[in-house]
Amino acid sequence: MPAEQDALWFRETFEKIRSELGKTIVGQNEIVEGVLVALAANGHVLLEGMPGLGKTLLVRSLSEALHLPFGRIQFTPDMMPADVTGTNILVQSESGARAFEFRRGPIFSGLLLADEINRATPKTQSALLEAMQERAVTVGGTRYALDEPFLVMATQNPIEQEGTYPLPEAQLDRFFFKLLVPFPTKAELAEVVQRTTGVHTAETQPVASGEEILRMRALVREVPVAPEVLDYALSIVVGTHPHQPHAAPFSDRYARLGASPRGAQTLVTAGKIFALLSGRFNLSKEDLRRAAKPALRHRLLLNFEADAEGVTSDRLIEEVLAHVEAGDKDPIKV
Amino acid sequence: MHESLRPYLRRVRWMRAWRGLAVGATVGGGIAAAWAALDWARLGNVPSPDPWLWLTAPVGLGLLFGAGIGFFRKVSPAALARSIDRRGGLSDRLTTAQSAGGAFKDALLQDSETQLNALRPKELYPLRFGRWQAGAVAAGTLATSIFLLGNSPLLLDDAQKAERAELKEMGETVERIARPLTQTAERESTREEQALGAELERFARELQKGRLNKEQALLKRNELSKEAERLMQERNEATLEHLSQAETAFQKLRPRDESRQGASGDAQKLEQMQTQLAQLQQDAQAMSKQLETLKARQQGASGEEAQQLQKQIDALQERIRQNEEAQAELSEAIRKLMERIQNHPLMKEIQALMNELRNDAEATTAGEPPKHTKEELEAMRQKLEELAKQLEDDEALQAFMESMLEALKNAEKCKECEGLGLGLGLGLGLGTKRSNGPAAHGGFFQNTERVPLSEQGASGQGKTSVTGVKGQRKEDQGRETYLEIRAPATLGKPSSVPYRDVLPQYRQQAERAIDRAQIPKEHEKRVKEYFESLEGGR
Repeated sequence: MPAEQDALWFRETFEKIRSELGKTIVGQNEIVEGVLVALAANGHVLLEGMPGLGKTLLVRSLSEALHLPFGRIQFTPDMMPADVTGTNILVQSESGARAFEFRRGPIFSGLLLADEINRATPKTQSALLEAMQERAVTVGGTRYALDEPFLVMATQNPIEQEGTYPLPEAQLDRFFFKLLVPFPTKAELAEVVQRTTGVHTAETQPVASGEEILRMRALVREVPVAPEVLDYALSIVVGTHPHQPHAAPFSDRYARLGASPRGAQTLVTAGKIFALLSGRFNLSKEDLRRAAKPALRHRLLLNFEADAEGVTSDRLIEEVLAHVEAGDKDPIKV
Repeated sequence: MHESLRPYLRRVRWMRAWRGLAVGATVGGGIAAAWAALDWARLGNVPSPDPWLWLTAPVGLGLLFGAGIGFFRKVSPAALARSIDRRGGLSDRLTTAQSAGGAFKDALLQDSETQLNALRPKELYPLRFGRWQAGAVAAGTLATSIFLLGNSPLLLDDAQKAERAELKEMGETVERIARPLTQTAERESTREEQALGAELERFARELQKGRLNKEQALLKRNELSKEAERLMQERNEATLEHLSQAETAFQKLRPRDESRQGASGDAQKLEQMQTQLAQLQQDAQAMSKQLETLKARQQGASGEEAQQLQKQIDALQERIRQNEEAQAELSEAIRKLMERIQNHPLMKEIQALMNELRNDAEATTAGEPPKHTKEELEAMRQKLEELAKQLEDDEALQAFMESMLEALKNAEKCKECEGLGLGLGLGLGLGTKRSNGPAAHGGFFQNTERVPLSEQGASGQGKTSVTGVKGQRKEDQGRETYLEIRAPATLGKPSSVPYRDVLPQYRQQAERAIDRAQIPKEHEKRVKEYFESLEGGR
């Protein structure tokens, strides 16, 4: 059956890429999975974690595994939008004729690492984020489309806030997932040290192509969603909105702003990928619960009371999930 | 897919019936518990006999309704799919398969079928003893406990237990007394008598269940006793009226009846003699008038005319004398004949019956106890019916017999009412107001007098009153409410003795009663205080 084979192929391809990344990346399974899910969903990822946790290695390895061009931008406050998108430069030909020629910026890479994105000025940030959303850049009145697949992996340091420009909510909303990169365990750290200080260094081999990624994206869209399950997804999103008819009590208390419609889209799309990875042909509520935190945590705006009491977005999402789950009862009472 | 869901649908129906059964039983048990509680609080009544049947009825009905509704309520396929998804851990496969389209539809359907076949309906919907089942058991237990506690002496102290036992015994007595009234055919009892019977039965039930305390029982008993006496009086009056009618009929009946019993010569003779006597009396009257006329004419006449008139007067006087002699002879003959008739054994028997009945009715009306028992009256009635068979049909005879039988029926009914009056007194250990009536048995009402609810119950000086007293009796005793019943020295009769003269005697009696512990312990102090207060007013 073609559909079953397609689903199987999806899962195998995904696992192939994951296992290939596993050669170089120690641990960080959730991060790797999250990045791959975002890639399959045609989204971008915001990674939040301390420096030196393998973020650059991950993107580089991924580009090698997919055989895609890799680009990296280290954001600094003096960086200009043209440093991201590219610019027109005056070029003199051999005949002596002079003309403006567009020099592509690092954004024209299949996989782009935007390191410490919060150190760039809002102007530069918005140039990047516009390209992420539109999949194109416009320079000198000319629109240049970006190659597909295109994945931006932005990072930000949660500790050093001095001299940074925190991303506005509207721009955060454009990231498919926000992944929190944890510090590796002792065993993982030992493995990292062993791998990086020894004679043998692992190399990532291409296991999939950009075309296959595009096919995976198309396949994800075929996964059916029951109205009941869709309602569950919307209940989660609506539940994050404070002082709304279906808001969770915890949201009423700690949330200032709930998740956007993009949050619902992300939730369902990511859920579909999780369903395929689980060997199913349908989106389930478990998939939605699994996708909820990475999909919604950067889309929620907490109030002062939450800050004061140390309530995080993840905690809020957990409470909303519990609230929605409590309302989802067995329709047949026996 | 639809076929695969069918076994689950059946299972769900049975499990819903099981749950509905438990819900119904819980609701029914709750109703039964509330009913039992109301019964305990005396705000409602669980009908007897068979109170358990009545208490289990709501539970049974709840079971039936609950199970029926549970089984026949519609189960939507979508809801069933969702439920199986949840219980079987199918990750919304069935729910999605029911509405799925697109490339994965077939794969999803096949996957769902495979997953569903791996499950068993009994595992997904097991027979469980859940909250509702526990609730049903709890409600049933609660109802049973409340009813048992409310009707058993478990929570009572010894004195209360004794009182309850006494009341129960009295309740049985009252029930026994009331039974003839309620079991008599409706046509033989008036509506009031039927109502009294029902009220007595209720009273008996309340006594048996210990729903009344002594004071309440006394008041209720008085009320019912008064009503019974009123009905008895009415019956007595009806008896006397029917007896009068019977006597009238009897007067008409005697001559004819005699003729039917083989004394036809005497009867005809008596009739002829009575006719002759009447004729003689008429002749005598005519002659007297004629004599007066002649005497008047003689006064105005002179000489020869006066002499002729004198001769006529003498002749007339001679005829009048002869007429008087004839009347005297005839009257004597009639008297003798009447004596013969009256001495006939059958007539004497009927007359004796009538006299007994009249005496009985008059005695009862006068407030004396009846001389005949109900059984004797029944025997009289049977005898009268036998006499009626011996006598042939006749209008006068029929009227007599009907009146007599009616009077006897009334007398029997009256006997029942009398039984109520006396029985109530007996049952509660209390005599009626008749001084020569049956003696009261021992009991907690012994040595007490009947206390009417209002002053209408007695007349003259000896008025009875029931007074609710509320207030601070003494500083150290706190507030309390009690019922003070003031009874007259002699009920129903004006007292001519100043109460102070008899007070010492009454006080001694009260003290003796206290010594014999016939006055409840909690009232002893009050009795003492009552007499002390009377003495204080001296």
